[in-house]
Amino acid sequence: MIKNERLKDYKYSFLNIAGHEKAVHFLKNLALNDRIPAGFLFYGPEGIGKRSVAFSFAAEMLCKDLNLGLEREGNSPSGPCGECPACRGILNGTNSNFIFIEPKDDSIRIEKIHELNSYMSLTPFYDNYRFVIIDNASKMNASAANALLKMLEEPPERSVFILITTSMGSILPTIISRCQVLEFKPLSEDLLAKYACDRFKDVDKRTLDVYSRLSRGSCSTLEKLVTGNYLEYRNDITELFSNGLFYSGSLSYGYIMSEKFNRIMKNSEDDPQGTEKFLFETLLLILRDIFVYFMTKNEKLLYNIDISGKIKEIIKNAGLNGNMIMQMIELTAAYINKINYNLNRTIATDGYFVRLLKDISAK
Amino acid sequence: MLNFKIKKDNFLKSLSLVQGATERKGILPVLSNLLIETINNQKNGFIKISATDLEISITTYCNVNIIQDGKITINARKLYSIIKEFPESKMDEDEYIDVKETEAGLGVVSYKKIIFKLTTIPVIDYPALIEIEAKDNFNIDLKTLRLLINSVIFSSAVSEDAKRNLAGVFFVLAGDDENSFLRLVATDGHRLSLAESEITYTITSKKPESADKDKDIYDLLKAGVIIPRKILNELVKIEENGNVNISINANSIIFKLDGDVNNYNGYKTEFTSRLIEGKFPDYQSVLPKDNYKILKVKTKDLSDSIRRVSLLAEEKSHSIELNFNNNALVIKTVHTNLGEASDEIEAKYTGEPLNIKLNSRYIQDFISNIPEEQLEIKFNTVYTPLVIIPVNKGLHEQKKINLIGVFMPMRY
Repeated sequence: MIKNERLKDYKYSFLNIAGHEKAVHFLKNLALNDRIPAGFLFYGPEGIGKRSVAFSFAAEMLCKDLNLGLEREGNSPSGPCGECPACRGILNGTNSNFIFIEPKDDSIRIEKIHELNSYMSLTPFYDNYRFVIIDNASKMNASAANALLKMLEEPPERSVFILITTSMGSILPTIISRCQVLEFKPLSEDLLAKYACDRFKDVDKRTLDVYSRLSRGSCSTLEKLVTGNYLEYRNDITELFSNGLFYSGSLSYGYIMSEKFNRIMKNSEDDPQGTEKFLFETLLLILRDIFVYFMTKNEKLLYNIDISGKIKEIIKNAGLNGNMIMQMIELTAAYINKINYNLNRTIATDGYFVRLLKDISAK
Repeated sequence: MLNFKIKKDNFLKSLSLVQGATERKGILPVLSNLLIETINNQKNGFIKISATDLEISITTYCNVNIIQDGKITINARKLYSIIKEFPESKMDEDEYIDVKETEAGLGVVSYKKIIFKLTTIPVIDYPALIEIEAKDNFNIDLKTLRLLINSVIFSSAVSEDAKRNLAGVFFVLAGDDENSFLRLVATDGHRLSLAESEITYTITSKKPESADKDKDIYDLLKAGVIIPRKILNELVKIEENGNVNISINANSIIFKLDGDVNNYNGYKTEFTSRLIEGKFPDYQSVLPKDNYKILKVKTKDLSDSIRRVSLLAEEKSHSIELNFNNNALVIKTVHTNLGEASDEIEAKYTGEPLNIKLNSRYIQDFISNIPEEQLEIKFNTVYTPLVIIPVNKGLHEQKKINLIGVFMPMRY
């Protein structure tokens, strides 16, 4: 019964896409002229809506009711209905004209492509286009990519392959040459802010502004930020820094910081490794703001704009200089790279925070 | 909320029919489920049971006492096992299995004092099965169809392979207007099997103005369609006899079962499958023409002898050598590690002696299905295909069934 409600605001429609007007316009035109190429490559930074565009494109093309509308009026006024079997099938994966592939255990293996090939060799149930969407296509290993290339060389009739990737470099050039490449750019802050206001009506505007800045042009990051409790975590972490002991640079305070930090981490219910990465990235952002403010003294450039007072305070009280902040940033970046290693978390964070304090205490 | 009462035997039979179309890998949980819908709200109504894995779908009907109309999806394998484990009822006893859906969306299956509560998936998430309309169709005896399928299916290529157009069986209408044959061909590139049976095919919709966009079944079948193995494997599992009504459109083939197989009030059990896209290779060019040398041999002799000798065949290649001599066929094999074997059987042959190396498995697969006593082996050189044809003495009642097996020789 819950699912019925979900259908009311059917997610996949060009109407629900924030930004990307160029790409949407381009795809719409192809659809109108019935000249859809067999291969697409969507690339651009993570989480800015490439997948939504791909899904919406499929939904627009596959939705039975809408297809009629396209023919009649030359343009789609309403978007996919969300109620016909085709639309529902895209949501729950039972549309036989729609196949979605994403990496499993961080890679797309050749078996998956073989499976796809077997599937595509059958005639479609619905006499319509068939969409194959491969998310994170760069996770295909070499053999899978070559198997896919073979399919792209001789695509089955009326089939559309959409590959989605964040980096063009990791896709075989032979595949790229067979695809229509569409570049996706991060969304502008205003657009994100507007999107956020529409989407989350019950969240206060000021917080949303902060979030729109922090999400760096990505809708999905924004949603994650709003639904998660980022601010809480961030404030907890900031508290670690705005502390007399930190300002004095006492090395033993490093252990206290580490302990507090681990406590924040434990309170989260998500998987520990993901949380750790998330927290350290948050920390990195704070350090970035400290650095930017230190160099420019311009509040407008800060991401964490709501705590600019705290940031000023930290710089002043700890007597930080550019070099020291750079050191801290590098240290943090290096730590983030090592998060996937199998390390004792407590010892690792102990080491990190003590080193973080080293420069301040040497002063 | 759905509620009906059903006899155990009926239910079990229907459930076992549709099992094959449920998805086993569990990628999409909803496809592991069956869709059960009530048909008409009468004291003696029917339920429609459908299963699909998006490649094939099977629907069947079952008569029940409907208490309340509704729809439900339940895990197919679990439901089958549960019904199977319910105790046998005595002959005169009138016990029914009670199936109902609760407000909370649970499926409750109870029988006597046994109660199972099963989780369900909302019906709205179940893929819509399309009712396919095909104007034209033809009938074939289920027993014959089973025989035809069993005679060729082993030759089709195992899927996952690159040669996807070979991963099914080619159905084609052969013969002229007076005598029509339904011909089934399967090949994996090394061997080919062909089976055909006469069918009474009346062209009902062959209109003079063929401007009709939809090709009718006659044209489609004349050109041939490739049918995936999966649906055929399900069809040969059915034990009952009766007629099968076959209709085809551009995307799908539908087998409707007539006769004793769960058939109520015109509702027929239906097997639907998508077709394999692509072109089937030109199988006619490998069929024997003139200038072939012919050796005649008894089926049983050949089969027994190959089975014996192939004990010492190489494990990977299963290769054996056939020496065609004057009125004798020598079957030999050499295993590099274990030794060698040979056997001679009686045969009718006059002509130049010739040695041909073959895969014994392929031949065994083919001749194990042959009821005829005599075989003709046709061959020409060590490079051209060897052909085995049973000598038809009208063993199959009424209708004529022809079988041909073609095998590519192995290289020396």
